[in-house]
Amino acid sequence: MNLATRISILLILVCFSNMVKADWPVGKKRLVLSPSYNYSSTSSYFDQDGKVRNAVNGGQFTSKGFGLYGATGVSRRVDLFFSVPMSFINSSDIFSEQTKTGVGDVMVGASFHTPSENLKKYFTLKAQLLIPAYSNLTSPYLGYGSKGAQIAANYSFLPKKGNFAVVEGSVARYFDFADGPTQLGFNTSYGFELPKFQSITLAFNHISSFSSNKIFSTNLNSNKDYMMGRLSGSYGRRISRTLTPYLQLSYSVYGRNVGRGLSASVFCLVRLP
Amino acid sequence: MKGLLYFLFFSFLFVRAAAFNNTTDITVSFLPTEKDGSFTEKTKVGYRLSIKNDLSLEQTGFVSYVIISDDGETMEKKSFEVKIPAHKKLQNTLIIPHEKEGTFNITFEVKITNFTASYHYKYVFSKEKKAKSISEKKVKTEKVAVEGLEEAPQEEEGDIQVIMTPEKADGIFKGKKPIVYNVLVKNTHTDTQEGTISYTVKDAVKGVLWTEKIYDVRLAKKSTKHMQFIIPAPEQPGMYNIDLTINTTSYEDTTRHSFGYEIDYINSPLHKPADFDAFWNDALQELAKINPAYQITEAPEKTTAEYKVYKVEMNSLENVKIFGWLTIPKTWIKGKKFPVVVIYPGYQVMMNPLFFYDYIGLSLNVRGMDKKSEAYPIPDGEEVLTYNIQEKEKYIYRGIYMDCIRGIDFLFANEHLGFDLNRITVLGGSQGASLALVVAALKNKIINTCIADVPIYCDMHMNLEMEPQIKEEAFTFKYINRFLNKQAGVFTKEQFLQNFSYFEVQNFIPQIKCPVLMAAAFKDALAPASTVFCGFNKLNPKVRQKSEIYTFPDLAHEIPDVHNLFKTIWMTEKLANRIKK
Repeated sequence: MNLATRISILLILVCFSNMVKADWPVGKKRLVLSPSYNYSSTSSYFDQDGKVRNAVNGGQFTSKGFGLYGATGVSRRVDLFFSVPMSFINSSDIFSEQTKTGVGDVMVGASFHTPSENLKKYFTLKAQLLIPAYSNLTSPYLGYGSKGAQIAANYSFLPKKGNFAVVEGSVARYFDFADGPTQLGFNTSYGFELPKFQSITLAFNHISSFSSNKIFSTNLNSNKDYMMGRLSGSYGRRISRTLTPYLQLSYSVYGRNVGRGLSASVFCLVRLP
Repeated sequence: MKGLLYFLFFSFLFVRAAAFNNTTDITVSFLPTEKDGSFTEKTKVGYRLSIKNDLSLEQTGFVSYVIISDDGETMEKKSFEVKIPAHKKLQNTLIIPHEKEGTFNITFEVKITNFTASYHYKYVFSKEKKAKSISEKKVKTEKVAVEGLEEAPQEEEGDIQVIMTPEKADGIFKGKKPIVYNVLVKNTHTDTQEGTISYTVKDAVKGVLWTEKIYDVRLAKKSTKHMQFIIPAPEQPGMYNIDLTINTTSYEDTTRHSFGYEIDYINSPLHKPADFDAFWNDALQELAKINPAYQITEAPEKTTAEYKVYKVEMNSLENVKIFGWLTIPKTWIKGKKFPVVVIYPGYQVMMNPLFFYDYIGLSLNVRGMDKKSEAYPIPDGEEVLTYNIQEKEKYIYRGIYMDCIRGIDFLFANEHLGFDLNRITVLGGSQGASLALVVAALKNKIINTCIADVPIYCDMHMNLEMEPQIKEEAFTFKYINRFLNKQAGVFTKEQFLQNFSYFEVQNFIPQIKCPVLMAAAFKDALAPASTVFCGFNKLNPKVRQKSEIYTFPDLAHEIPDVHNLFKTIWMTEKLANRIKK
């Protein structure tokens, strides 16, 4: 699975978890931090025709790491956010094993929220820069090793009390190489509160990555031309005024030129002050 | 035989006369605005009055109503003059302010030149959800013309609806630009309506005419007409009332709309007595001498899956025992702290526990809210607003204000329960808003944030001056006037205002140091927007910079749901800063 994609899913869920009210503003002078731990491992993939294949020669791709996401409200409508992933990846088969550890694609961005008259619906525009904190000198790669930018727009609303829904579209482009890629994303989420400060969020995420570079590599982070659909579910329970830990599971349900499998994340939302 | 003929002749004349008296040439109807006769605070208690005069004679007289509760208490009486020109129709919707819940009998009486009748209805009023329909409650709706033989028609007849929308949605205008209203006139009659639409613009406090205009209109049947009123900007800052009158072939009605002009400059003189500060220092010292004897008891019947609820009791001024409800989120961890929201009650409103996702809540019941409470009973015939006003040291509001302070004392004495004493918000609506402002002033080194929706008593001097301009009934005028009538020759209006000056909220406001969020509604008879602006504008300039006021042109003594959402956002934002000590 592409690292940037995984971070993107996490980012959205973190935003959703704020006040269990979808991708709403963080709040002026407020800070949200979310440390996370992610794990994914796959030994199969979707080939260029979308068929599931086992990796050749017992191939296995594992990615795990810590991440830190943060967002702060600079006004009632504008938030600034960042994300720093620290990754450990391992690509192996019966002949060899390669590992890499380091800081991946750092993201910084801003979101602009436009509320409806009744403050129950928001239209949000986001712009973010992707800055690689590594160089792809040896494989496996932590990412594309290219600067990029993403813009996204979402509509978030409360279908009924204690429920929220978000529909988001995004476009990302990596600049440093002619083969990009350019990525189109579509995310939709539905969340609901349960008694005792618990919440569940279900999400579907689709990404289509376009590039002239059609090569499929078992080093999944380097694939540029692929497509993938994932389902995610997360469960959270607020344990104090500021802390809400979450467990998230994701599964790739279809794809092309992309790894297949289950991934898990544990993250904690810290809302300050 | 001759006698019999005379008898028949005079009987005929009598029957004719009786028929004329309640002639079909005059048609009267009162229809509840809610068909099932079940009203809520949201829908308001309302009846549509229609008097159609098909006679060639102008009809003058009055329409009155009396409301009697099911337990026989007369709740309200009101009477107003009516004049219906020949071949014209009077239509109006009577909105009846309501505080008390229950089932009520309302009797309308119409006494005009050629017609006399009364109509009885029963209705249900509930502050919250829609009450069950009257039939469900097995209360039979009566609609009987007692003296008149006429029965109110069932179908609604044609109507002319006028929707006036200010160009500025908040109804606030500034600068030299004219005040613009977009007007939609809708004729639902099945015939063409011809006549006039006119408006007068008057200062809301003194009723001084600023401008007026009259338009000839011709409204085709079932048609809609768009108009625009361009009103020259007033010369003086203030609130202004626009009385819009529509007078057509078979329709006559007057509605009121209001706008604010240069509201940052609306102000009034302070009526602060020289010994105001000493008066309140004495009260605070007296309170400090009272042993609070705090009692905290868990209330399992009110506890929820997310919040623990406690009943808290304490002794206040004059050793009066007051109580409140403390709600602590179950996410509280011993040793950690939650910001606290203290909520004060509206006039004669008993507070229930209130739950806040991110906060500990303390809803406090002060003396006088339950007139029959053992701790502080109020004699029959007395009203809280005027109780013991003759002596300012004994006036009930001295005790009420100190009860509110005692609620803050409770937090400081029980910090171990998780109160973040650097993050205390005081809030309330109506009287509760006034209490929140008073506490924010008297405890200005402690209170972090204050939210005051439609505060009453901001400037009682201006409020009473405005009485002739206010059409809706307000309990403030009602109780004060009733009290002054009873006290005629003993205690005057001037004495009332002199003593009330010690309690007038605007006299406290300059002492406030925390940000304040206020709300004003333009159709509010209890907390007229002018008085709210006068209060807000008395905030210290530095405090005013970080404070905000929101206005709602179409509302009476209330705020919209969206403002409640905004209050949460605002409070969260302001509580990000701990109070600097």
